[in-house]
Amino acid sequence: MPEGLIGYGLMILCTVIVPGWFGVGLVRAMGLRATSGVRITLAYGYLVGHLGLAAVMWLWLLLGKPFPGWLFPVTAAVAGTLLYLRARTSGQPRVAREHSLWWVLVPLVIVLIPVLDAAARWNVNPLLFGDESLIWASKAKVWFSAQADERGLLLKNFVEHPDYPMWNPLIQNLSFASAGRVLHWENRLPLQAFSVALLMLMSAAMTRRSHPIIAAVVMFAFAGSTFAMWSQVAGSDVLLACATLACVEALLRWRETGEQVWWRLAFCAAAAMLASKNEGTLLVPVVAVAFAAHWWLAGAAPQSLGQVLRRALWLLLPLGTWFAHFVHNSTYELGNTLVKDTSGRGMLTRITEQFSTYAPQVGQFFYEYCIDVTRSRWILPATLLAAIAVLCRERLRVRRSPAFVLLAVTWMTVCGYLLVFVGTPSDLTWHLGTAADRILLHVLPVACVSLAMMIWPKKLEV
Amino acid sequence: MSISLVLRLLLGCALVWPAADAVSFLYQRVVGNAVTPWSDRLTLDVDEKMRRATRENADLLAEVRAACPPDSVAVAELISGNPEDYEPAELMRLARQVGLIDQLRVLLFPNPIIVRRPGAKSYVEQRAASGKPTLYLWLPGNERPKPSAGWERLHQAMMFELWLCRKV
Repeated sequence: MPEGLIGYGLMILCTVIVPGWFGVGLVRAMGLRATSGVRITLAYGYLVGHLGLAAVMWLWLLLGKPFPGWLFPVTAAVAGTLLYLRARTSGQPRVAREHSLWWVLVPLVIVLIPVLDAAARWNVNPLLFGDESLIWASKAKVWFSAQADERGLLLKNFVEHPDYPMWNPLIQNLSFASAGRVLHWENRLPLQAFSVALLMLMSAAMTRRSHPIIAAVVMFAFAGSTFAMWSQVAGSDVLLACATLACVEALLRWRETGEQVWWRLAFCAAAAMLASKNEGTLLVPVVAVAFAAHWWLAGAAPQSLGQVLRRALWLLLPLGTWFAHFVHNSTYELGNTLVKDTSGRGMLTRITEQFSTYAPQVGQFFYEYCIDVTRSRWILPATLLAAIAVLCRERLRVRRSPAFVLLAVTWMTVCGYLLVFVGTPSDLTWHLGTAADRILLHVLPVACVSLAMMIWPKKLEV
Repeated sequence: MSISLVLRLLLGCALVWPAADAVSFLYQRVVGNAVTPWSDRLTLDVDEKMRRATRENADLLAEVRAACPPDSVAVAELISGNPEDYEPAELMRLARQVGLIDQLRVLLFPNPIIVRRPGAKSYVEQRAASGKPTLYLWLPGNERPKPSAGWERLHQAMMFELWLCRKV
């Protein structure tokens, strides 16, 4: 068998299938029912599996790799199996399988073909250029190879933006650990698989809440948006998009079903958001505010103090993630130029000072993005038009509509991002050109679910 | 039929166009990608992939790796500045050098680890003075050390030189 094929096969096994299997065991042990559907189980399993392994991986690296790296996939496979068996035998109540027709899966299969094709094509090239190499893979390599006393020097001189969060580099470290050496090709695989997880999650979310026809139409549009440019790249934008949709979907399902597992998964996803990109620190509060306002307006059921405290304990997960990132950056004296630029000006100061000069250019760029069918596929402007259509009928009752929570998450994030561009310390044209399309992708899946729900909603059978 | 329903119906129909355009775009891309045969995508070994990725620099990369002691860290000059300040020919040369250093840094990692810094030579001397012998990767156009107390040339080739700086 050709060496290249063996390499890919082994890496897919160790960094895609095994973490996914470990995660499936983990989410089943957390209480996810088998009846939640294959797409949901695999997507949440993959996300939670990699999140759990990343935490252990960081500890392993900090302790100076006390055991061989190949034990990671082996242990994860065994642990996943044990967790899965434990969940099966623990007598979880079973409910009727979610009704879904096979043809609902056809659009998912259709959009997966170009995603997998693009990934295989992209993997002919090593991780050499762009953010995937200079930011993420470089950081992964430094953490894997550098001695502890050289790490600070290398983070500052080998890695671009060494202050960026650790999840992506830790995922790449799983491939290095499994292979026992630094890789230059195969470390993309686990990150590319997040594109598949994202599409599965979108498919499950949209077919649950909207008619399969409109779900298919929106799915196709999304697959041909800027997502097509970034699905094969080992950056963190798809990670954040996947984690954001996972968080939002889990919160919706928690509200709909009352099952505690969704609450737990929502906080796992929130931790993943914070661990994937700095933009997560904007997105997590946005999601929290939107859902808190929705529940308050819709009239939340009274809960005992014990219940509230037990649930609040899950907050430790995102808080711990944020704290670990803070300690990492403080230890190596790493800062972000967006937060404080070289002249010491903070973000708010810059936004105030630059608003009148930069806001028109940012607005113009966003307008052009929205109307350009090849980039936005009209998804973002369509959400606004759909919202107007729904408002015509529902009026004030929309406050009970989950679609409007997702709409709020989408547009609060978009506004937040546009303000960040107004306050950029870099050349605005360059910053918009290199980042704007990519970061709008973070909320595009949420916008898609919202859009499908508004155009042709399906009555939920909970 | 309510206005809301009509509006949503129209919007749903309007979305068919970007969706169809997206499917067409994705189909074209898959067909376009077919120029890279699947055998190349999946079966090439690392050496062959490395050779294809580095093209004319493949031999140079191998030579730099062979010249560096195992597990070493080498410092190279960070090229920075405003492109408008350079003559076009000089800018082209610098761009080629940046591309080469990126290949060296990324693909040779971790044997050796090559970091870039502005004022690399002075930085290497500072580190050496503090008791850490440090390698300096010299490329044409960078400041070249002189064989003197503290500096030792480990390797000399047409495209690069490798120097070791020690505390005197």
